[in-house]
Amino acid sequence: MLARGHDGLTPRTTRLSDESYLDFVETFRGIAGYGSFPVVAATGDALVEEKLGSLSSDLDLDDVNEVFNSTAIAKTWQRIMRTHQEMNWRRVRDSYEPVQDELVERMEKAADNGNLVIQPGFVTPDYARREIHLQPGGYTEHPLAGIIYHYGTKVFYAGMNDSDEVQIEVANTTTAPADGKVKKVMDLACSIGQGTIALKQRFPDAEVWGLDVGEPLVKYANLLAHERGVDVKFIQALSEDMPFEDGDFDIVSAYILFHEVPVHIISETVQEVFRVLRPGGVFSIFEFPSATQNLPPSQRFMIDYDSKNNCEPYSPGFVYADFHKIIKDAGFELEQGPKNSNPFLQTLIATKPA
Amino acid sequence: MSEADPDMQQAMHDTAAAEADQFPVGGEIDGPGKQYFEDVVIDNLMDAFLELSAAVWTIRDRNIVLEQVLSTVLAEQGKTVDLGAMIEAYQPTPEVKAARAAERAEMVKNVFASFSKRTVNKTN
Repeated sequence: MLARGHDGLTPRTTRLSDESYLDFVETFRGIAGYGSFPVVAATGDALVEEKLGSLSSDLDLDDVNEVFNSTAIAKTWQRIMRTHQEMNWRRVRDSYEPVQDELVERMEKAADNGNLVIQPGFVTPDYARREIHLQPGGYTEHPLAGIIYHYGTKVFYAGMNDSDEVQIEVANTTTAPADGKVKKVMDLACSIGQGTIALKQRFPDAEVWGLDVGEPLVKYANLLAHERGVDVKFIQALSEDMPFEDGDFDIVSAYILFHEVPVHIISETVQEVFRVLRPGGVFSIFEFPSATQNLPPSQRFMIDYDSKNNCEPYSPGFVYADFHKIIKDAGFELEQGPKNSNPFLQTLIATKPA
Repeated sequence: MSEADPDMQQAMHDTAAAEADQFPVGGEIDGPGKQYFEDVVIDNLMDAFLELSAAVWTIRDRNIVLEQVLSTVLAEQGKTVDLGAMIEAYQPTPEVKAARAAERAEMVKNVFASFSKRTVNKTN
């Protein structure tokens, strides 16, 4: 796609110095960022027990945070987590912006393939206009949001998703309906279409759609699919209000969508997926874990830090919501999904009764 | 979809407005920045420390690449080459990539060893 070629399927940065800098950020993130949290947790939990008398999840979160923030180690951890994240996005953006005109032109030309639907008059809801994970402009406001997301998440995945390995696993473990009929598949909140492409490769005879709220994301997704010669369709739309007929899809798959939207949108989306699935259709869900048991103070401190300092405004709402009940209340039959190599994820199979 | 009642809609609007104030577009990496220490100088020092570390790695990484490229040039003996372009265009083999990652991890471990090595007392 660009002069320096690809690392796997990921376009390299425009300069070696950017690549080296971002390699540093990636390694720092694992070793000094997440690697030092056990020390923060052990120190903070011990201090909470001493000062507040228990480790109960009933403790007031403000009190827990006050205890953690009385320690220099917690302040240092927050500083390095925030700073390395800012370093990541700033350098990724700065690397690609000099070739913005070229990239935008490529996306516009690729859109001539007829596989991209941008709905006239589409209005991005305010809740979606957030710089999730600190990505500058978020998923909706920067014309290069797609490629910025692509390389930024390469850093998050620590090089383990350079060739879409994560999305390929998700596609390959997406559950098909029991009757085996798969004519139409939806990759819900598809972002840059890595999963959409993988779903097409899994179900080559099906019509596969990727849907996302971010116009620059679906434009970039369409460019990726076009350049890889994969015939999939993309549409900018809302997961809670899809422009498709009742019972249109055999499979809907969603990878880490629900912790990025407000709780009422979670409910509306699940109900909307129920509507667009045909009887016997399957909703495959790969998502952050729900808080099904008491969390120690350190975990609550980290979730709260992430929400307020890593622009995850909706994550706590999801974690503490009764996600399984929301799915069942929509009418689905719910069961455990297949294991994923990322043990952090919960996987669910929600089937619309035949 | 069912319609929310007016009170619910107002509550959602208020929540969205509060979120927009807390997480404005353009307010994250392009905003004034977060402060975690009482004295912001410590935050600034930490930022500088990370940037310095990244800069050191960036230079070191370029040297590693340069050595690889020079080796290639020497192997070709006498051919005229654009060394800068070769460096920018260099595609590491999986072996070189792994070696670079290992060196990088070693450097990060060394620079930040104190954060995971030292016992921290409860007043820290």
